[in-house]
Amino acid sequence: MAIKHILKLILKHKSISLLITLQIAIAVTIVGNTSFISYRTLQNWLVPSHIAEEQIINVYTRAFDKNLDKGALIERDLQRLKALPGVESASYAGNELVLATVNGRNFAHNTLDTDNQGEYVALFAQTQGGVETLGVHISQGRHFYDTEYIFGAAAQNQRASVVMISNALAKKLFPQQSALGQTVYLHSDRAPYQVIAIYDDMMLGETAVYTNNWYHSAILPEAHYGRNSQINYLVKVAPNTDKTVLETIEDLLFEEDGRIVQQVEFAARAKKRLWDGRSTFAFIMMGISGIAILVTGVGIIALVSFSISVRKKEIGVLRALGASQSRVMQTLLIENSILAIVGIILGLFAALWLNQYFVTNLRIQGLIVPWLAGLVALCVWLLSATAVYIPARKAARIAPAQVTKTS
Amino acid sequence: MLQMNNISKIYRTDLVETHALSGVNLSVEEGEFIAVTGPSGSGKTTFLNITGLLETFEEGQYLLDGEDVSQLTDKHLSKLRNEKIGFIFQGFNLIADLNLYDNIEVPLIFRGINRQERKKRIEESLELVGLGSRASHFPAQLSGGQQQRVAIARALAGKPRFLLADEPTGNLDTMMARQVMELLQEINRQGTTLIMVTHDNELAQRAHRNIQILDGQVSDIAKSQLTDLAV
Ligand SMILES: Nc1ncnc2c1ncn2[C@@H]1O[C@H](COP(=O)(O)OP(=O)(O)OP(=O)(O)O)[C@@H](O)[C@H]1O
Ligand SMILES: [Mg+2]
Repeated sequence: MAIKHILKLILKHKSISLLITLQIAIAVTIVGNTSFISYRTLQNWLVPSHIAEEQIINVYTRAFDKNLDKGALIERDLQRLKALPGVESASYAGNELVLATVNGRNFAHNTLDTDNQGEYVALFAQTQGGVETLGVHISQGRHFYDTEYIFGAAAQNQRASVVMISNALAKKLFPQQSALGQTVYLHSDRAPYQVIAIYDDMMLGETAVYTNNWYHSAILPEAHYGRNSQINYLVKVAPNTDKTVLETIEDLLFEEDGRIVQQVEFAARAKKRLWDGRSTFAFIMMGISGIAILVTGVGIIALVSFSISVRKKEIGVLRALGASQSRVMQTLLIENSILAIVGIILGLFAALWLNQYFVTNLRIQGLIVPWLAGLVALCVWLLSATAVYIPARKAARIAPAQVTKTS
Repeated sequence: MLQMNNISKIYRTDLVETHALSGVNLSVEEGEFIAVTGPSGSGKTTFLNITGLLETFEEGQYLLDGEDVSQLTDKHLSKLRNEKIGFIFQGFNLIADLNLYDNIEVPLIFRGINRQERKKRIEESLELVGLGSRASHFPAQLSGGQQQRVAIARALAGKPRFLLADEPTGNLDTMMARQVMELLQEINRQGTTLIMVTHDNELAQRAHRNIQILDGQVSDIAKSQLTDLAV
């Protein structure tokens, strides 16, 4: 049988051919998208954080007593925290905690031009010790001088003048030249800061990570505490410190009146929380996809088996006319592959469209991964080929006389 | 050309064993025209199917052109069917979803005959059976007799050395039956070995040789005995 005849047969059996094609298209659409989303999630999981996740502790507290002298409280807290056994350093954290953005989104600009949207940045506003606590490794430039730190009641309206930025941010803002010595504009009022250091990439900011700017961050030597009731700290403990240190810190801070301790957690936990939402979506999609594979798999097998079983006689006639078993198998596999390929192409287009929908409407990370799309297509094709193979082999093995005898 | 020694075929179902053929011995020479007669259910179609390599058998030996067919692979058997043997089935066995042209073309494609030659043969053979203008029709659009003729055309287009016909005139009126008979005789005269099953004693008379199947036993009979058969 030539391809011409196969095509004629496909067109003759329009409804079943269409059903098989659709079934395959649906399988490709759903399985394709799930794979993309799952794969991206997995890939993101595997982006290295380069931070000491099990050593850095985020501390969230809130001062509800309006008359509290916050500056004094913070100094007291930091001293006592540093005195705890196992604690290596501690710092007040004004804006972000590690992988937990506390005060909205932040952008960094390389120009005052207001049309420039800027780059997402995790903005760490720290007191002395902040750089050590984050575990930053400076590759170019210098440390902050003690005099550059802005802290205390009198300095609440003052800005620092210098900033350290991560290597990734430096490259993004100043692709052509060294960022060192350049001016970066920060905050909504676009205050100017001079870059005095560039440090190795670390995954630090929640919002930045959420927008895939894994390693965008900046550190400012300024700590304003008067703006709201939050009083947060970053603490770094020695490697392999027991979890009980979290309780110890909580108990210690709890002793202070007029303030509540909301949470004390390792950065590892913040990171996990950050990924949970996305993973949940990926798991839901995987579940749907599992069901889809099952339903479409069974559907494809049933449809294909049916389409072959109604053609038992035709197969016997072909055999009688001199088609060998392998030739019959080959013909049926080609026929099915034509349907499968059409289905797969339709499915890939549908997957593309659905993916676009997810990305724009649900802010899901799931851009097309071409090799994965190819793999899904191959698997679906294999599934449909297997579905043909079993009933086709059965039909091809029947002695041709069995079907030519009956009219 | 073919030699059968002690061939037996048994159909086993849950309840009964049917000895469709038992101990068939037969030798056919190249170019012979043999008419096979026998009552319904006696094993004629079974005999023809085994001869045409469409069915296997339990016992005995079948040599086709000196080759022991029970030793051959499916691929080899298929090739022999396709190249040496033409089959006209009792029920026409056309492919309902393909038009007449395509129906005749399929076995020619299996043989690797090129497009031009295929076209020529298809047109010739359809012309020969008087359906030259119907190439694009589908089997369902034809009468039983016309379908029978398409089945004949399909067998002839392959120019087989060996033509097996199971009641090729069964669905035709007397006039048409005679025409088809003459066609088959002509093909036989040109060298094709012909074995034909028929109920029609008048047609059977035209064969070189007559054999009869009774309860799975094959025997040569004289033409004079043909009329005695209960049909
Ligand atoms: N697939 C089968 N399974 C079981 N029994 C079968 C099968 N095919 C044929 N038979 C039996 O074998 C015997 C011979 O059948 P066959 O078809 O050869 O008869 P026939 O001589 O061609 O009859 P007719 O003239 O009616 O075509 C019959 O008794 C039939 O019932
Ligand atoms: Mg019969």
